Amino acid sequence: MIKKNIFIFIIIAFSLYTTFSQGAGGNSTGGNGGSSGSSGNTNPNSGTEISNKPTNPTDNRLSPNSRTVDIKKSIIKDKIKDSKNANQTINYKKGDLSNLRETFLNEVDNGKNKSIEIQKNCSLLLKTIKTKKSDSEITKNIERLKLNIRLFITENENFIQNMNSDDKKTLKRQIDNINLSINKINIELVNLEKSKTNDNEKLLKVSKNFQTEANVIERQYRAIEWIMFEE
Amino acid sequence: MISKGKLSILLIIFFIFLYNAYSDETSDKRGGLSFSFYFKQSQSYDFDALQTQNLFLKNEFSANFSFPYKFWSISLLLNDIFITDFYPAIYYSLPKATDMLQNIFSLNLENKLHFKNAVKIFFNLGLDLNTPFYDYPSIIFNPGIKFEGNYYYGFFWSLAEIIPVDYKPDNNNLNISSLNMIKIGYEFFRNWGPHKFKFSLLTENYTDVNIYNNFNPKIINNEIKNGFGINLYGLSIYNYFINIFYYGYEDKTLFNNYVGINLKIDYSIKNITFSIDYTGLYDLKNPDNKFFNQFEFYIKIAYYRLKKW
Repeated sequence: MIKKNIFIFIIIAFSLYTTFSQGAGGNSTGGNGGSSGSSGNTNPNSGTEISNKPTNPTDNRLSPNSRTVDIKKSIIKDKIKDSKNANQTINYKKGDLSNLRETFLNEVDNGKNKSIEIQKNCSLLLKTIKTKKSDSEITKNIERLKLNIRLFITENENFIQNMNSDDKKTLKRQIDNINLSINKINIELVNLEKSKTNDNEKLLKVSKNFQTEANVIERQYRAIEWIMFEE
Repeated sequence: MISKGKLSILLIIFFIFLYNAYSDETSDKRGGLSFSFYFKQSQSYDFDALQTQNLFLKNEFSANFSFPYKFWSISLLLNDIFITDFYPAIYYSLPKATDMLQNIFSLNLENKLHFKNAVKIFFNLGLDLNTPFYDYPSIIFNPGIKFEGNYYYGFFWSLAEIIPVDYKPDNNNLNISSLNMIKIGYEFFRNWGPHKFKFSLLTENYTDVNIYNNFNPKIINNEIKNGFGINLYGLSIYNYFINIFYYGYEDKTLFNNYVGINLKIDYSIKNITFSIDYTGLYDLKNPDNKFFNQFEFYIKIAYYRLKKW
């Protein structure tokens, strides 16, 4: 019964619409397209001048009705285009997120920034070693790097532990990669503890390894951010 | 043959499998209402060596109410485009205001199935009421389906099919088309490299085939675009190389074969987007027509709000 009423309503609405729109618009068939190039051709899709077959759709642009068709076609075509282009990501707003999601996003931001900071620490340490600065300077940079790494490991562990099971499932690949890098970093931390500040070769190698793994972690955090908030 | 009952059971099992395999169950996406609205004003100017071909002002209003539930969402889209066409004012000897006006109202129902990290599927039912004030109105029914994939490592693709059924009750003109779209691309620096700079390679193909037209000859129109895009701090630049042809497959006649370029620049700041688009086309089939140029400029103001249950 409801379906029947809806159907009747649509038919009435459409009948009213067509009746009144005709009254307002008249029924010009495009014959008054008074441009010099209007040779009476019609666009193949317009269906208003039956007798004239098209010879060239370009010329048909000169008919007003063909322009109507062009607009209509382009509007329909817009419907199948992607809602966004590839590099126009949706700008998520923090106000639109629940408290839970906002905390999640802040933790992702924090993890990303920490991994960038570790890479910067590594660059600085490498520069200090290469320019043969004093041992105290090298020790200072090593201590800063170790502190940042330990802080990151603790925060990352909390972040992954607090994640709900569905998020863990969605982000499985990223979490596995982060854990793998953290294992490697832990091994390098042991190596760093064993090495002396004047063993430059070893320090250079360890710093480069830290930098590589921090870069891998940064990629994983960026992937998490994209999957959860931008896709 | 499989009976309807068996087919239903198979479909249900298939969707349960997809749901278990891919569904996104993040806690805050279980329900809610999202509302988005935009107003877009665009100006189009097309001309060739001889004269102005088109000069439009389009005002577009669009509202979208979406109800997401787990991996499924249903949306109602309302859209209205009011077009002022300045062509008659320039070229008609006695132009009337009604010669310049056209309105297109659309109502769309969209179902979206979102299988996280895998694919999105859209089912659309659209109804357009097209009213040129100087011609017969028409009603267009647009059923469509679209598949999309977009991945964190940069690859994205989409496939779409719309079958517009365009009917003019006044002169019984029925036109049925098949509109297909394929888009493939790769975005560099999505999860590595610079943070505020992105570079994309894109290829797009649109095919529009007249399946049925009770008045006019049937035509295939194909457009292929290959190019790249750059995004830097909200500024997006796209450059495409284009080929468009119109082929009458009943008469076996090639009407036009265009080659050209398309350049588009977008800039977004908060809820406002500015865009300028240029397309230059040269018809290899009709070289006397020389270059055909199209300019479009638009400003879009968008609003988005999500209300949770």
